[in-house]
Amino acid sequence: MHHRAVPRSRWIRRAAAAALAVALVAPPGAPAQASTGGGSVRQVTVTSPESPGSAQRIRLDADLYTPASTPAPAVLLAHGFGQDKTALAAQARSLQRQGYVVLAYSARGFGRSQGSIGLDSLDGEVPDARSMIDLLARTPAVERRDDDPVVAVVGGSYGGALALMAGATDPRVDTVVAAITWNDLADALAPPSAGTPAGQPVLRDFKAGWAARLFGAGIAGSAEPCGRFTADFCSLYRRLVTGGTATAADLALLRRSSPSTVLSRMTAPTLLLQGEQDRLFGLDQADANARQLAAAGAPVQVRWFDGGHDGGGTAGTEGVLEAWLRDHLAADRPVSSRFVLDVPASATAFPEQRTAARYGGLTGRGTEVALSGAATAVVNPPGGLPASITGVPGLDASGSLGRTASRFLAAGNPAEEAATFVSAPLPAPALLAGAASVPVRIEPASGTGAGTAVLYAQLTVRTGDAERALPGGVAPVRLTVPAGGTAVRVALPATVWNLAPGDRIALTLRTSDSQFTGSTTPAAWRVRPAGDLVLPSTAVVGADRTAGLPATGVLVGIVAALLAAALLLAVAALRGRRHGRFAAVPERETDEAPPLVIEGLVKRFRSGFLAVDDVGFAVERGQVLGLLGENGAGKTTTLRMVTGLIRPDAGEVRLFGEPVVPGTPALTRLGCFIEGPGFLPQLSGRRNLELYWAATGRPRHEAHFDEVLAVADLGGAIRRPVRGYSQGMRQRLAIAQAMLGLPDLLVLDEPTNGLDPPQITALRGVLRAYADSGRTVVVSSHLLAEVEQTCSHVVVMSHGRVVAAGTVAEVAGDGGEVVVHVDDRAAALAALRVAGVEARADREEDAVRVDLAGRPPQQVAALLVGAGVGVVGLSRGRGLEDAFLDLIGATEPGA
Amino acid sequence: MTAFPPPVAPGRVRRVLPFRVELARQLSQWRVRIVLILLAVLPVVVRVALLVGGPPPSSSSGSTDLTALAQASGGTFAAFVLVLTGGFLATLVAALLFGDLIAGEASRSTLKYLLTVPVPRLRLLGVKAGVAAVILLAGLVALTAVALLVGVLSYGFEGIQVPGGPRLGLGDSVVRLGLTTLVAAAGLLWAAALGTLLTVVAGSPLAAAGGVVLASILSRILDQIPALGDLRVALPTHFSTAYRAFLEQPVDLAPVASSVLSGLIWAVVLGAVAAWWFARKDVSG
Repeated sequence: MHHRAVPRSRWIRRAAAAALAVALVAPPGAPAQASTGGGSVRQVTVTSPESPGSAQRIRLDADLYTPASTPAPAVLLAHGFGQDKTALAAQARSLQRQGYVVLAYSARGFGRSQGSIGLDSLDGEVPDARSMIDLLARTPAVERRDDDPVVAVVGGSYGGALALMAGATDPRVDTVVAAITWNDLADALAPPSAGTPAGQPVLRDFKAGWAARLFGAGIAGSAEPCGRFTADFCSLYRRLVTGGTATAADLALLRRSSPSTVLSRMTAPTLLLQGEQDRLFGLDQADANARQLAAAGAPVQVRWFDGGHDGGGTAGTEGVLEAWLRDHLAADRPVSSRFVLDVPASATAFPEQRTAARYGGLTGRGTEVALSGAATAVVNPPGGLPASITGVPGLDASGSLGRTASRFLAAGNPAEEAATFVSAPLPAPALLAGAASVPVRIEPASGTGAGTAVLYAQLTVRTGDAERALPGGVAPVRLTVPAGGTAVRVALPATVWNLAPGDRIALTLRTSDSQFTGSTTPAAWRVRPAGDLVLPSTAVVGADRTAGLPATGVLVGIVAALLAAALLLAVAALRGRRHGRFAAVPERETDEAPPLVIEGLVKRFRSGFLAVDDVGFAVERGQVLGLLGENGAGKTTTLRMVTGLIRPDAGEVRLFGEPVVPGTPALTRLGCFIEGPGFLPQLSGRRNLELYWAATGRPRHEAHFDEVLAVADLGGAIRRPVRGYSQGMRQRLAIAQAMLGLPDLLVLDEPTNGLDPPQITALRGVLRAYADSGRTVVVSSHLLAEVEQTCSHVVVMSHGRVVAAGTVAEVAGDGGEVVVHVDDRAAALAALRVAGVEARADREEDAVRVDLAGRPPQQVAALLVGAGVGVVGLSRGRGLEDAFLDLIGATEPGA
Repeated sequence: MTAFPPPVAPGRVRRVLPFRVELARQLSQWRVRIVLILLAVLPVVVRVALLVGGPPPSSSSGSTDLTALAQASGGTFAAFVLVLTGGFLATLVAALLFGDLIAGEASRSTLKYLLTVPVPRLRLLGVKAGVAAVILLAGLVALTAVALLVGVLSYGFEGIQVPGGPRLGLGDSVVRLGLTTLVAAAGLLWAAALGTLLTVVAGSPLAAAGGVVLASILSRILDQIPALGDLRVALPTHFSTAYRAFLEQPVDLAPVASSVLSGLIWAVVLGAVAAWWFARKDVSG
């Protein structure tokens, strides 16, 4: 049943019930029953007769895994060819954790076990397995039912055939799991022709490639040419691999090592797992096993998976095995007849899992397609060389890497050896499941007479540009062709494929294949399909696709991440709105508060420099306040805190009564120019101002562009890009930008930098007029004269502190002093002293400083002139400069 | 001398720094314009390069490489251009756009004036990131559209030839190219978020962009080390080829979803850090 078909409400109910069950059974933190560790492993040696009836015994090396909780059902694990018990350790431990007693052993001739390899012979390996079951029967940890040990035999490939044969010959076996294995070793290694005309004897080929690979695994680690093989098998192999024909005795020997010989005695429930990527033991071998088991009355389930000897072995079937043991060893549930088959990935589809109600063999009802192509002559060169390559043992052609390697290997295949016949594009999708077949007409060609023809048939699927060989390999055809030719129905290797509309199927017939013995006789044959290609299928009741779809966890993660993002945005927006409420409705009553109040402001930079230290002052409406201080006095830092650009370490700034935080809405009523202009250089001055105003989100008529542009006084340059402006022009534009909207408080940091004297004068007038209109101006400067001439009030800062504050007159001192520039200072001082006027030398060499003490200044001038001293100039007041220099304690005239 | 009218209460502030204003501000910069022009012109450059390189090989049958198939059809050419661009160039463009957001304003001294408008800091960052995202997406869409146009004019009105697979219809191909563009854009989420963080932290736009590029290279190097195993899914570029899923057959949605999830997580985390940092940063210079 496909799980998506289950109604959602049922799923929810089930999920809720499951959650409840978990909560009741397993309190948080308590270890689950299944994962309880413990258990033990112990090495055991089992002796078994060297051959039936022999007194000589061989020792077999085994490991016995006992779970924590006993008695428990037992699993006998058999390994694959060329392996030993160590290859089973991971699987054994996994089964042990699931609560089974596991016996994993090295078959005779492998690992530390003694004896010779008889390829799962009924006279060697199979009695060995029964000896192992004897051990399990004696072990107290093994659960017994009706005084009979509960035992499963499980194995893949070499171990699979052993499992089948042990199960068939030992009634104590309760269930068998056999993966990627054979039914008849003679048919698997020396396959009969895939097609033989009626009345002819069946000829055999030899799967030399795979057989050699197996033989190599059997002689590994041995100095003998026959390795640990029995002498009989060694001579059989030698005969076949050198091109000989299998004799009746050879076939009989191979059948002593075949489940086909004993399966009629099986009664235990059996799971047959067969790989689709398998050119050694194809789906036909499992099919033969299934048919024999069904005939014997044993419950059997068949499963085809996307693996096998050419595709990763039995990897991925662990879950199937565990479920089988749970249902048919630990419990005794009836065996479901359902047939599950994996459909491998095609050029246009992901791998899928399909389910059929029952296993229907290899020739289920399907479709027929016509193959086109004229009769073609194919040539077998002398010696059958070069041989076409369609694969190499163990090369997985289902992945892109394997496909690339296969294409590379096949690149040199001689074209004369092959004939290809292609179908029209398929009109409808189809599932190929089983052994396709096609009648083929074979005739002798160009000088070849009647004789034995050898051909290899293969199916490929063409999807657009891509051509993929169907898994399962090639079918060897070997038959006697009379002079007039013959027709034969060729059965192709059983396989599974997802055929999409538009796909084309190609049949290729070759005279050689590198993995088969083939024929060394030179020959040429004319071949063509003599009818439609029959594509078998199976009735599918369900499909499950997991590949190519995102995992549920990932989708949940995406939703969670989106929710988190939405939540963060909502929090940010909420905070922003709380802020913005003031800006939306400016409250006029706060106008009663002074435009700017600073209290106890402190800022220490990360470098440790104390830039502003306890600065406090207030600015009232209508004032033009000068912030005076030497370079580095902390003026700009103070103004940055006023505008919320940096945070004070201590103290507070209030604009119109509102405390300043970054982006505080009260800044709407403040215009500023701080530490140099900043514009988009490629835009014109006017465009810059327009964009700036647009950024405020306020109506255009509130900007007062005309007044502000008049202040900037840039004339036609306002339409040119700012990048071409002089420093003074940028400066004026920046001041204009600060004045956009005619804010109630204008803060200008060093506004006269780069301005020429007429512009400075003009700015002075602008600022005064601005203050006169009821607004407030704060100007910082290190130019004393500037502040003195522009401001009504002054705050003097030095080294981060306020050193004086008040009106300019208050800070500069009263007007009771005049500075008189004279041509002779000594004479002037003397004359004044004589007249009883208090005077002293000024810092400037040619000037004296006179305390008027109520006298009119012209009287002092007259006095000096009367004393013969030339008066060059006379200026009133001690001046801010002097006050400033006194305040900051400088000795040299300030800049 | 100018006389100023008496002060009046400022009117209602509708919305500080509207999206279109920031869009106009960013589009006025040559850096942004050049990026957009580059993306739009790139397909033409690729076409010219193929022209100079000679005619397509007579038989590209069975090729698993899109490069060999680039001239097979208009759709294939567009897919080829996307594969060329989707990896490093797109990351670089994202780094340039997002690395400039705050650091660029700071280097032009315009940041302080925007903040004293006042534009709330999170609003400033949000609008800027949004505008940059729109520009980036527009650039990628322009790239795809021009590539498709150049492709069909040069190689005919046919769909994508999937390497080692079927030839798709033109309509199907257009949909797939669109989806590819979207997934490629989603694959840049991490770069955009890292660029936003670095532009807030670093002083200069080039440092921020360079940081993103360096992180991308580092991530790609680490991704090449198999010993890291499953840890590599945490690397921001681990799913950086997910956008190619739609140029293949069958379409594997698993890496696409993983890429989107990875991008979202990076974007949320780095974006939140960037916003937190910017909200409390001292703006100077």
